Amino acid sequence: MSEAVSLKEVSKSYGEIQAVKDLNLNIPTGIVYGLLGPNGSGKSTTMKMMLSLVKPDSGSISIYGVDPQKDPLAVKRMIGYVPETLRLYEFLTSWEYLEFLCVIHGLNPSEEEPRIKEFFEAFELKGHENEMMGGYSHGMKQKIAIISALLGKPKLLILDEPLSGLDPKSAKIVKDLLTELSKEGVTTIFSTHVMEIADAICDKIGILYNGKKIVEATPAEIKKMANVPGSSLEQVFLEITGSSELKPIVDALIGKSDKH
Amino acid sequence: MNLVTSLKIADILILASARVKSTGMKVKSKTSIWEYTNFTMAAFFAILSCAGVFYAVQNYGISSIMVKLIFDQIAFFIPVGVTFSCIIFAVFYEFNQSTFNISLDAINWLPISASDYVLGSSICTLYFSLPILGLAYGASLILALMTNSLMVWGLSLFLGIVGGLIGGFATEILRALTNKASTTLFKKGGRASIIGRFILYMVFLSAFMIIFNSVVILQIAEWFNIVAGGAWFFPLFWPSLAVLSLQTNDLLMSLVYSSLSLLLAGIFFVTGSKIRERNWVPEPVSSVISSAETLKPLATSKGFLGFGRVEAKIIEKDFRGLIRRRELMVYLAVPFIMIIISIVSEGLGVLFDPAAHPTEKVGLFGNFGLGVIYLVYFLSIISIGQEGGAAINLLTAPIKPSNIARAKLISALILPLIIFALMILSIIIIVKPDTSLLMLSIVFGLSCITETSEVGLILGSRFVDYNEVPRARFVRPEGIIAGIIVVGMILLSNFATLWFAEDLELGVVTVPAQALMIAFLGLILNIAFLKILPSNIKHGLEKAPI
Ligand SMILES: Nc1ncnc2c1ncn2[C@@H]1O[C@H](COP(=O)(O)OP(=O)(O)OP(=O)(O)O)[C@@H](O)[C@H]1O
Ligand SMILES: [Mg+2]
Repeated sequence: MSEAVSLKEVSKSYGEIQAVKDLNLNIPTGIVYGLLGPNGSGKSTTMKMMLSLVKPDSGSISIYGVDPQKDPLAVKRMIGYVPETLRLYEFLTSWEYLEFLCVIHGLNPSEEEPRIKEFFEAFELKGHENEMMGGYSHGMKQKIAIISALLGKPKLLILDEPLSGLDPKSAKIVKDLLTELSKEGVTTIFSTHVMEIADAICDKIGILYNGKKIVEATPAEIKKMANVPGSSLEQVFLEITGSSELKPIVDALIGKSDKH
Repeated sequence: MNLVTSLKIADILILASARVKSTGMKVKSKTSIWEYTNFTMAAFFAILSCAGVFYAVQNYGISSIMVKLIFDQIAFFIPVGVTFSCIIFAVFYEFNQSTFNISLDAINWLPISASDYVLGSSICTLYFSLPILGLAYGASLILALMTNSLMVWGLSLFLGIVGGLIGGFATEILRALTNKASTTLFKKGGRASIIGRFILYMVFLSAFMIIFNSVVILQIAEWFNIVAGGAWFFPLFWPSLAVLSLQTNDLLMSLVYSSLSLLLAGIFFVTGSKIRERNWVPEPVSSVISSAETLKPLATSKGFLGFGRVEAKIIEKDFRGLIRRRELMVYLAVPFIMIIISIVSEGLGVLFDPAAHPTEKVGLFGNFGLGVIYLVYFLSIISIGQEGGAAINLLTAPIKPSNIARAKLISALILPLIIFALMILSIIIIVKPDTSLLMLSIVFGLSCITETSEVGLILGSRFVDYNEVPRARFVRPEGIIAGIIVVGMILLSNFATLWFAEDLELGVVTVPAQALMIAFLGLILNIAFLKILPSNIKHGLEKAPI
């Protein structure tokens, strides 16, 4: 299997904060790769570097053999991206927006119409095509972002917490879709804080902690790492990110709020 | 380069902002041509100015020689005028791109080539200057018909569009350059780098606006003893010189200048695309302030200058934003640019001319005063809109609109008032006016500044635009224009009191009466504006994106 994404000794810091430290990643073509880690562990920064949105301080990145800093356009052509913070063009209707994306991706909007309609049907967005997106609910916007990422038929999907805000049915659709796409050879990198999702669909998981990759393995292998056999992915995650002993923390929080 | 893609990009940029209206989110039927209101407005203005000029020429017995002269001047000025106005507009309105979260705007991660983007964005800029173009071309068309100079008019129209594109491309160059500067120079973060970035942007913006300012260019031409016709050494004049050559029947030179203009547009376009390609997105600003210099709150628990804690916090936040947010810096740069431009064009000679009357000297400061008015106007009109997605915090916070109004007024006023105080100080030191003239200046200035800040806030709330992508504009264009008209009227009515002065020509102002009149007018206006301010702010905040 050839490599879809490879990062070699990539580092990035913001002032004194090291967001990503000497990160090595090798993601083979066609798998679903879960990027996990606590808040601020460098997941989004890593993804933005793959997209050329953020320039790494050192190290090298290759997306299907292309360096994002050298040829951003070529890399962007291969990637469908869902950002973690959503800011759609509020005053466009979703149809107008998707039509725009078609043009950008060199697709013919009228030819793509049936496909877009299917998406709308599946995500229960039908009837909202001609509404401005500013009026959408959070979940509806998220759905549009996912459709946008898939529209250009990318080889690589970079999804930053794509399921946040989705109802169970839509989340299930996305999960099934990612599994299907993976069979067709599309590579997916996605971040999530929901361990069950990672467990269910990831072929491989990388856990970041303070900008460093501390574990990389399949979900099954990770579960075996637990001290207690039969642990869930969540328990292992908490264990290896050093946050399994939460009771004192929670107690302290309650104690603090009691005083008020 | 792909023209279809560029046009689509322009279309999206235009629609995304043209639709920002107070009516909220509507269900749209298919996009209709009527949504592109600027075309209609341009046509309307064209017809209006056409009819107006026709009426004026017919009824005021303007001689045909005069008509020809006026036409020649307008036709000459249009291309260069369009270039400069596109630049000014673009720097103010198109430049405002938030640097803080680069992953907000899909433009940044979509596979869009730099050249498609540069062209699309410049077409969008041109679109927004259409109403002004309509005005100019309407007036000149009727004159062209009267003087039989349709050829010249046509060339002027064509080169005006080329000039507008040059203006748009130039702005793209500036935008990409500032991206580059903030990436390469200010990696480290920390307070020093925030301030460094701030100063650099101010210098950048000022230099750019001054280089591309026609007043300054013509002044320099004059210093070098060059008549306007000989302004060939300044490329941005080439389109206009092409028109001038055609007017004097010098077809060859007209052709040369026209080709040079197209070449120039090409060079600006290629440069813009190249620079943008390499500096597509600004590196996210490092918002880290080193641990040694943790935030020292300006506002203590008691508040600040007698204001409540919450108000003080809002003021503090607004100030931090001003030096940290690139999209806000342009509003600070403009007044300084205005001051520099007025110094360049008028010189400071009169200040040191012993024969000049004090009123004249104080009058010179009026030019700078206009810069202060600009500052307070823009700071207040963007004050609500710059909250952007965070406006919801103000709406849901347990604060009364009147407190928000107070805080916003103060944060818009502090800087202008400091500059005004410095101005008064320099007047005292340099001009040494008598007390009455000094008093008049102070009352006049304070009155104009406070009234402007209130009008700005009211209109900024009424015409608020919270959108952050694709452009952060803070206020709709209609709001800016309405504000300029209202502030203009306020300045005029303040001035009007001066007309009552006896012997103004001699500078003998009956000062106490004058100052009293202005103060009285100011009192009425201030009370009226302050009265309607809170409800307007509430109205504006209620439109906050939730
Ligand atoms: N523009 C910036 N300026 C300063 N620090 C930044 C900037 N962007 C990111 N960081 C820092 O980099 C680190 C990694 O951030 P990143 O957004 O990659 O985390 P994340 O793993 O995506 O977190 P989350 O799960 O909360 O989304 C954090 O410590 C963050 O504070
Ligand atoms: Mg993240």
